[in-house]
Amino acid sequence: MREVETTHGPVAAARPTPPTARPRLRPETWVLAGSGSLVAAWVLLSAALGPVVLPYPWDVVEAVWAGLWGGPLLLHLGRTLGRVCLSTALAMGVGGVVGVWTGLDRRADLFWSPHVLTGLVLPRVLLIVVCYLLVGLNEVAVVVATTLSVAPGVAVAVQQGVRALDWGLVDMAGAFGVGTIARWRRCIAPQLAPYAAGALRNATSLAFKMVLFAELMGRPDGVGYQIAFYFQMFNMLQILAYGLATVLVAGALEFGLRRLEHRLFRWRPVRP
Amino acid sequence: MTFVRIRHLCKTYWDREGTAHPALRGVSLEVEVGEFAVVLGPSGCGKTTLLRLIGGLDRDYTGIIERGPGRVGFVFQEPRLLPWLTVCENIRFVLPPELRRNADAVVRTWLGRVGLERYGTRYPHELSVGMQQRVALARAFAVRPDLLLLDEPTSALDEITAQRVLDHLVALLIEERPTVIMVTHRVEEAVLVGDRAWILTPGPGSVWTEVTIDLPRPRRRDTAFWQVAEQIRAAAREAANSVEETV
Repeated sequence: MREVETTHGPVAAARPTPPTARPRLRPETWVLAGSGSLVAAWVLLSAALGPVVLPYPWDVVEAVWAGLWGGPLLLHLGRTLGRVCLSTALAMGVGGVVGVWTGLDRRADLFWSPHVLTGLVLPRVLLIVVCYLLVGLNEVAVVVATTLSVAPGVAVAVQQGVRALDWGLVDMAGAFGVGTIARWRRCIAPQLAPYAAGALRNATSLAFKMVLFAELMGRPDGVGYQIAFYFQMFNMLQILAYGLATVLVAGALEFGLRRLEHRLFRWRPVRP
Repeated sequence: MTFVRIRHLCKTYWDREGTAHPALRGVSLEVEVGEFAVVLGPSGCGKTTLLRLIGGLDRDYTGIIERGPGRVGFVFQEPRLLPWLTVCENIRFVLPPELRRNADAVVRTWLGRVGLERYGTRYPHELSVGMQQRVALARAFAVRPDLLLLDEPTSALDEITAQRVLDHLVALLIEERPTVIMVTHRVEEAVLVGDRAWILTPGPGSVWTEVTIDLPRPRRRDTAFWQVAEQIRAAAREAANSVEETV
């Protein structure tokens, strides 16, 4: 055996060193650094292009503030948010049912796969135009177009969840005579929850984009309409103000969904 | 008095191409009330299938399965605990309505009996596999089963942990005495706990013979123990050879 020579002798050298404290990960530091880099990039670009072409972030924040308290920003934001929430809820319902059905039944999967595939590859703009032409320039057309656009993605996500189900757990509950509702609530729903949560986040983000586009093309209110209006007036400040307000609201929704996810899945092992 | 009676039980699995894969062929056996029956056989002989059919988890078979009334407890090869529920909640989840009134006391009692009373608020991933299997054991006994089905409950464990789980099982059985059907491929385990062993032929499984294990309890690994074990091993070899000769 090789001896390690030190001033304290070989025994001291073999003594194990005390464990050092692991540096604690501070998530807020990284999020703040990421946000700061975004703002810095914006400021640099504004300085390079000039504030008339690209206003500084603080000017846009001031415009948002003014729009919130004295202007129509809140009204338009509310309209957009209402359309997004309604469409997302409908898409989650329709997509969720189709996803569970196709995940459980091979025949249903074969029957619905052309529908889902068409929904996934259909250009969004085409969907909006067709809905406006068929239903008219109204709320129903916006909600139908957005729902049809978002639901296939939800169906695919939920279907993957159903296919990945651990039926051994359901079997276990069955062996102990646990009822069907309790089995769905306690064994199946928690397994599908991560897939549904992911689908909900994607659906919300996609619905925002779709609704804004639909408003831009054929509604008299909403953030999309306002952006189109200020585009015709070449008012970059107001365009960015509405854009920033939308990003903040969508970000808050995303944050809320993440917190909900964190609460729902706190049983999961903590990643080191 | 017979608690489980099986007559001419056949089970066939079908793959996507429509090819038949027989798992059990004409299995007949009877298990008495309070008896500890062990079903022995090599991997793939249909032991787990047999247990699933007896437990009512699969109803696609031909033949007759008659089971006495009452509750069933099941211990699987792996613990099968719901990872999003704590240890206590996992046990409470399977309790029948009549036991739910005193659920806390029931859960505490059974966790205590497998030596895990301090782990009730933990999630399964915070326990070792051996501890998880002991929770599964507590869960199966907590429903006060009239019939306990054990599907190779120690096969996923190392030898020392398996012995510990087995010790807990034996201790619980001495006090509770439900009718038990355990499937295993470990002869020593069968002799340690069983009253009677049914030996299955390799797949498709059918009963080759039965061996009565008439040894006093608690069982020690003495000469009589090893004699019975050798008798079962010899029967299992004959069962395997019978299939090879047919082939």
